[in-house]
Amino acid sequence: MINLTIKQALQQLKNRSISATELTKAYIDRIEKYGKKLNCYITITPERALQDAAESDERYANGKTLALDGMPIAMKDLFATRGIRTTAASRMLENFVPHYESTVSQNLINAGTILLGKANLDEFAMGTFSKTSYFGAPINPWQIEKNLTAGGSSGGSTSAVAGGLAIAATGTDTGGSIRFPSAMTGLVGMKPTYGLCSRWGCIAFASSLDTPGPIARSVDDVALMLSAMAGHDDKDSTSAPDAHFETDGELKPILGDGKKLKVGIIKEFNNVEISADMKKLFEQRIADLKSMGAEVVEVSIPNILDALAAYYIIAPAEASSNLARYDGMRYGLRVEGDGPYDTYKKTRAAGFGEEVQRRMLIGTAVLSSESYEVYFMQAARVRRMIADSFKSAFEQCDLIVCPSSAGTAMPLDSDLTPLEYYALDLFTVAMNLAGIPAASVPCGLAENGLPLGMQVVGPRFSDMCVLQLAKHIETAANIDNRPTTIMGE
Amino acid sequence: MAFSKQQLKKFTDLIKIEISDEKLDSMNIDSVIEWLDKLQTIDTTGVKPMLNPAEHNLPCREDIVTEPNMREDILANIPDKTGVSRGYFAVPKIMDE
Repeated sequence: MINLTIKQALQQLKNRSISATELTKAYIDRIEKYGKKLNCYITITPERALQDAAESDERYANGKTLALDGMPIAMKDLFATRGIRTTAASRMLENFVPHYESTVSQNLINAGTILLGKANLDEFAMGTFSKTSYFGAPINPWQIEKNLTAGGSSGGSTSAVAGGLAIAATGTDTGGSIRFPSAMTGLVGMKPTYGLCSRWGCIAFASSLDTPGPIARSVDDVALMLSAMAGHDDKDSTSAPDAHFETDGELKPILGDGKKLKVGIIKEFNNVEISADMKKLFEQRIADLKSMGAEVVEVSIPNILDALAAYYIIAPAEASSNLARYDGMRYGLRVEGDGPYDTYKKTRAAGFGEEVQRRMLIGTAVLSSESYEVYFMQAARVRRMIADSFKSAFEQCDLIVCPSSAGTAMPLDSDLTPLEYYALDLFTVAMNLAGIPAASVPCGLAENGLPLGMQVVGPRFSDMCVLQLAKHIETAANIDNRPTTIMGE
Repeated sequence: MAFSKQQLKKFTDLIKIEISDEKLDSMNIDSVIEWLDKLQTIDTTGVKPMLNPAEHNLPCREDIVTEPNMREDILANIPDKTGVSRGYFAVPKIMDE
């Protein structure tokens, strides 16, 4: 049962050939068997899941079903869930139990989904391997004996979905945190247009970049999840007034039958070193798109290779101000010191891991009075140049494609410097700076048997077109990402 | 621009995190900042800074209370429970007697 996609499971529930309780139990069994090994959940909620499932079965019996009724999902532990511990994978929030529900998770409840648990991640979503988590790193289910990263920061979400411990999951993408881990695990992950999914109740990292989005095994499933998650929210001041995304689960072809589509390739990425596998698979998929009638053109985003440095100024700057709220006074960890200032210092030293501290320090440095203009405002200007370049590029093409990463998943014990970790975000950060939608879709398997992904990128609010093209790539690549294939049982 | 050890110490003080000298040395802040310097060479004359990509119309909601009477809920996560029964947050002593 855990090999079913959302689309298939919904069909079987409608036929009454399975029940929501049976489906949920299959996932709970799987979590019991592999949950600890994969370390993909920080908190599991089997009782809540079975209760949700019973309610779902009632709705199926009454014929009053909801859009995603009975779908057992994992929630990245960055989304506040009422009455359920929400940690951001930080010691600071180890025992924090929110009294409110994030808009995205509420939307998913309203769609009839079943909560299996809270997925592991990098601490406050800061990282690319999910190993800055206070609770230890999740493991990639592909070639599990090799102890590879499931990517980050939404690595618990991707580990859970790829391993069959959830049918789909939520993620958040600040600089690639949905797309990179999805690519490392053979999944489809979507960073929607900034403003399409509400950030309310999602623990803040960098507010102008943070983007909630879905992770699943197929493009259709991602579209179904997104249609439940998206929508305007009065509680998020950056939520788009007319935000909506609708699908009946059957994305229409955007190619074939003489349809005209111009697909752009970013010239500046041509000189970036990528693995031979990535190069080969990317070229194969481009050839497939051409054979389906797409016209492929080269476009230029002149400063795209500077996006990384701009991102590593803007994101830490916003983080240093967002994380100032953790003072140990009203909630979270408190380590008593000699007076209030000493208490703050000791609390933050104990509550935040090293990467979070590093980014807060860099953020404070680039915002200090002597460097504000030189670093922060300069980065904000480069950000505008990149966003404007994308706008011009989309006058020459409809959508853009590019790799999601340079190569396949690396071992968790890789010893990289901070800058080497940051460089892994090279292909993904520019889309966050510009606020445009981008999906990562599997483009094939490398020679080592591990999956690789490529991105489809579009102008703001072209989320549907992005997924429509991603579906053609998914079909062409045709990788088998069923959990029993990935894990061999 | 490189930051002196003294400046970095000042920043740790500004964000109120206790970081030892040895740890500060091992955090590679300098190498990251040095790498960020490459942005300085880009000519951004006349470019308006972009602080948020949501440059669509951002409506304000009405300023009304939507979720009242949550004092107990809000106090439930406080690390120091001593003030809870009286409805207060208990914080470390700030002023001397």
